[in-house]
Amino acid sequence: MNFPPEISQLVLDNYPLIIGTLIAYFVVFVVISWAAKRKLAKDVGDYVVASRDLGWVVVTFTMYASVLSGVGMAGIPSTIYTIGVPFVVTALTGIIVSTALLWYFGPRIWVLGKEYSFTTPGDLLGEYYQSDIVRMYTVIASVLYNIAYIVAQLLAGGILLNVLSGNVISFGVGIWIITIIVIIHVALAGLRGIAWLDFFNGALILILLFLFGVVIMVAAGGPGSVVAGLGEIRDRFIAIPGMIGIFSPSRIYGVAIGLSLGAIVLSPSAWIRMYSARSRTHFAKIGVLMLILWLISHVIGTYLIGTYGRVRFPNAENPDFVSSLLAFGVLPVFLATLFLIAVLAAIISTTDTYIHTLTATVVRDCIRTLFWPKMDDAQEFRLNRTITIGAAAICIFLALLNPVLITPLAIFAGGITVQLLPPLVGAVTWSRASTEAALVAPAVGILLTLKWETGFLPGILPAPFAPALPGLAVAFFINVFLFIVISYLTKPQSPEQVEKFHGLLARKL
Amino acid sequence: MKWNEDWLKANRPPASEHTRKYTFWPQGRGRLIFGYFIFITLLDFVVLTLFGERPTLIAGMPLLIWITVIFAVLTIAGILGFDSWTADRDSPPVETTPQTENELRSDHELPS
Repeated sequence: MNFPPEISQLVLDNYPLIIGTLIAYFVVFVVISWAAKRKLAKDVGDYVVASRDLGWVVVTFTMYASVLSGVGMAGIPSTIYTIGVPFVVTALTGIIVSTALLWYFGPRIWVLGKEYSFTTPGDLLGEYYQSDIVRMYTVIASVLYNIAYIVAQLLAGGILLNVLSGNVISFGVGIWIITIIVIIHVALAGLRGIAWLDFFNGALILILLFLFGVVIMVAAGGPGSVVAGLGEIRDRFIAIPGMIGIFSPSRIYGVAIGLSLGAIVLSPSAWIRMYSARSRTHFAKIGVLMLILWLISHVIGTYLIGTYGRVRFPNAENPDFVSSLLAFGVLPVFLATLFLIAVLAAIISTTDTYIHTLTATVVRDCIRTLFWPKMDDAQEFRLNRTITIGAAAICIFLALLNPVLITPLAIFAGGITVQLLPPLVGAVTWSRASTEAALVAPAVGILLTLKWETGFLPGILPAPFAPALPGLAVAFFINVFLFIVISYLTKPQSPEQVEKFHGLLARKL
Repeated sequence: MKWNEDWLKANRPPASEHTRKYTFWPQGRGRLIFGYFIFITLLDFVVLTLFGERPTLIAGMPLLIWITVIFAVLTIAGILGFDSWTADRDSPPVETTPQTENELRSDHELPS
């Protein structure tokens, strides 16, 4: 990475302080992992869903920290830098809608998970629709979503270790170090260890984002002065449709579907956290606390970082590094170091969460269901650890081969998982939904998202309604439309199956 | 390979015999809760459309951010209000896993 020479010099001048802080963070990391390992029960239920006894504060912070990741700490400030305030609105709008949906779906997923011992999205959807094809959709969504996120995190982690070490650790070696740390942590501690570390990381991230915003306001002379520093681009920066002229309200909502709904409500890791909560009554508190954390992070943190970054570095070569550049440009060296370590913490939280989720869904929903149905818990437990190493190797390979931008990748990843929303609605709230609809509609949604967001699958159709709506949103609405129409054209589930799911929820909720 | 498509063997009734007991639109209070969240979401969209293009600052923060913060506050109020409303209606039993003293303590802090 090409940091400005003055910042490279600043890092080298403060090398002992930076390395000392980095070592201190990893000491805390090891202590938390060790404590979690002591509490880890020798069964797959504890490894995958932490025995369903995580408190609501821990669940909230683990969801916050794992979603925030490099996306929130580096990607969103960089996108605000490029697009302006409409992207703050995009991020927050998605989170607000997701919070309401989390409050609605969380207790339903929790009740079904507890009653039938579900640990993955595929357990719930595959069981309700009595179809392993539907179960495989959740595996495909999980693989695409998690790999996309993990690769981006490894890239960002490699760059950060390179910067924090003053170029002693190369970019490639940094990726290996992050991966090895994550593998050891995930393999030893399971979801409980991840959740505890996320709690610590989430608190660290929140405090430093808040401090960063406050220091920016002090340095600029107040929030109004930050905006005033934008000069002639001020009006375009702070209003719709933003700097690139396409962020209308419909696009804001369309992008929010992928950026937030897909990550906070429909991603396999979020789903597993809903299973792992201690009580169904916790979801209102989880939703409200999470929304407050996000409000602080975006209104005080990422908005001011992206905006002031635009003021201080108007011609940044790569906007993804604006938050790091600004940290050393505005904060005292110790706080700047802590901020970069918080970014590293966010990256580690996300990587370990998503490797854990990827492994759990592949093992349980694919290998155990299709190839090894008699696998006992101990064998599944060991296989989880083995697959973790294999998945990490694939992600390292992709990270070293395919450099990507963080935010577009996150939006694409969420665009894939959000295609599971119609079948989820059918399983927990709309008993008229049919298996045929669950087989056809999400597949069309996933394929169209791949086509319109990545250019994968040549030919067919151009993305309609652009730029008012992103391709993933159009794909999602087509999915919803097909799901409803096909359900009405085909037979509903058997009365026994409807009672097993909808009847149970009606009695319990 | 063990591949199950049990829905092909399931005894599924024709659509005309479907009970329609469990619909997307809930009954009673649930309908009000749905209506509230749909209303505030549409309101946010309309306000963004009508006022979002104004480059106005209020207390140093862009109008767009204030609109979104108000949307967030309405959502938080709705969740807390409706949650306590439905909790009042639904007396115990509360569905929860057994909790030990240590687990109750860890509900609010990291176990040591």
